[in-house]
Amino acid sequence: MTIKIKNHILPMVMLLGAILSLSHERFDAPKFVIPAVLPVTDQQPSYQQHDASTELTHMVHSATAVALPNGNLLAMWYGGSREGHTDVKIYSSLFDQQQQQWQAPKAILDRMQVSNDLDRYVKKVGNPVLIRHPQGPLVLVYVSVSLAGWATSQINMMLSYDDGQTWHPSKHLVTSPFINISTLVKNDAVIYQDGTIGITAYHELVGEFSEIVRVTLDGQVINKYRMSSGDKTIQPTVATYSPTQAVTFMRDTGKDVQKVRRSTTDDGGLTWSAYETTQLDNLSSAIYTFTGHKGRSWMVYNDAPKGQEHGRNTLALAVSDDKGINWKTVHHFERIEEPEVKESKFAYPWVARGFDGQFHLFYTWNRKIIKHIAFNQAWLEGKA
Amino acid sequence: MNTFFSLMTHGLLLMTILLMLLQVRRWKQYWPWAYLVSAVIIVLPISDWLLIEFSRGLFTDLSLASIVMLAMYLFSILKPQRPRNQLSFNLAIILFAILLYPASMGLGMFDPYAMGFASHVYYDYLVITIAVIGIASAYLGHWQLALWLTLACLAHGLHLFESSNLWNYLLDPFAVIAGLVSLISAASQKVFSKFTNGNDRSVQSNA
Repeated sequence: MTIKIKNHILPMVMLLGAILSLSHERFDAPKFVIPAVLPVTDQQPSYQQHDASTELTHMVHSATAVALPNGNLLAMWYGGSREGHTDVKIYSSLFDQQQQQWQAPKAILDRMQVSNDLDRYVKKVGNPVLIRHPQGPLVLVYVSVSLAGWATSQINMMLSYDDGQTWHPSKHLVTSPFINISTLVKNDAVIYQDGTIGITAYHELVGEFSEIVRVTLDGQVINKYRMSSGDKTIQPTVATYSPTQAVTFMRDTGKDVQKVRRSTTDDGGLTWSAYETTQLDNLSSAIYTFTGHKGRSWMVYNDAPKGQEHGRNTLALAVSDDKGINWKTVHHFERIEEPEVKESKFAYPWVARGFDGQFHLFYTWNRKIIKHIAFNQAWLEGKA
Repeated sequence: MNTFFSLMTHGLLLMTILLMLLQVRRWKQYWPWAYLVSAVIIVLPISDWLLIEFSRGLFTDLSLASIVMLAMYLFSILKPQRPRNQLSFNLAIILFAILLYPASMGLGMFDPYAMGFASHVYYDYLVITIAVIGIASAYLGHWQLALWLTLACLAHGLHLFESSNLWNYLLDPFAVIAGLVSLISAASQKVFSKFTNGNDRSVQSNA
């Protein structure tokens, strides 16, 4: 009898494990929250430039921002002596709408704090992404690296319930089967109707592709949706049009086509169409899309054509009336004369929408400054 | 809780490596000292981190395939006969790796890794398949395979590590490398012994 029980122990434990696994919480099929259409209050075009960062650090890069309910803006970026250095920290700054002025930036996160939060060695930190969650908290998703270069990145998440004044400890997100490496973030997330967050992420090791990492507010990864195959399409930026329809644009890191790629979904991002090529020239640089009034799609991007040596000498604005199938470049925020000779770097655009309907563009200016350009719907429509 | 279990498994990994490096079998009756030295080294601070925190930072959580192999090695390190990986264990690890890694690293649009999340449409099928293979292998005498799948399923069910994905409990690249090395080593030994036996037979026939 004893021998028989012994023989059944493993199968019984296996059954227990299977029952426990099958009882894990399930989440419904994804349905996007569509951002509210904000009223246009100001009929006069407005366009203002600021520096969001100071020269506190030698290098700054990868800005992200959200509007706060009191009308102010919160921006973040990473800075240090150089990209990837161990002294890189994530900095935060507040834009006072009343005074139209940025406060002095302060470091909110470095690799030692991340190490303490996660109980492990961390080599460096990178791209931050701020998300305003409809349930109230601010969510910060950021990249950290322990093993080697950016291709071995992992992502982490933090929450703030006081609009970024204090942050809860980081939570590590497990998103990959290969020692959890090669998940990065750059652009804004999508929010689902059940309160879960779709982090628009990308993978850079072996295959380069885009994906949505769906997480709960408490940092539990609950699913992943592949947006492209491992064919040099990264840094997705998503525009949602209905609870199930969205379009993504992706940076093409290949050497052949060198144009922005486009893909669509009709099921809340569960599946995505095979990507196509848009008319927008882009030499493997970050892009950012946002929607305005009249269903128009807008994109901020580096529009250097194939063959040009310096890919980030311009920063352009393009508009589309058909969800990104056809585009027209209507403005340049930055343009270097003699682009073949001179090299500048205007990179990593991000657009935040204020509660007053204003648009706020942030981008890296020559790795020295985070530039902030505020413009309104009237200014945009004047460009269309 | 996740941190405790994770650091324990990295302790197991580092202890095994250190005991191999220290050649613990040569310590004879002083073997507990080798264990003690190893246990101290793994919690030594280097710069701002303990050695096990370095290991956790670099390699994230180990899978149950690695943990089972490490435990088998560590608990038999002093024995004259160490248990080898069973063929079924090695083959299953390699088969799972072939199914998982190329597609999850970007080959095509289907991501098998996503199947390991509870909200994925095929998750139930994956859990049931693992359970059926685990139970069948227990009754068929493939105890290593059964132990691995059972512990992986149980650890996932209890959410012992950070990951909520079943695949992270089943497999990691170190287990795949160890499985491949073990398979190649077993195959070469078989070929070598066949070759040696062949020579013996020829000697006998000449005699």
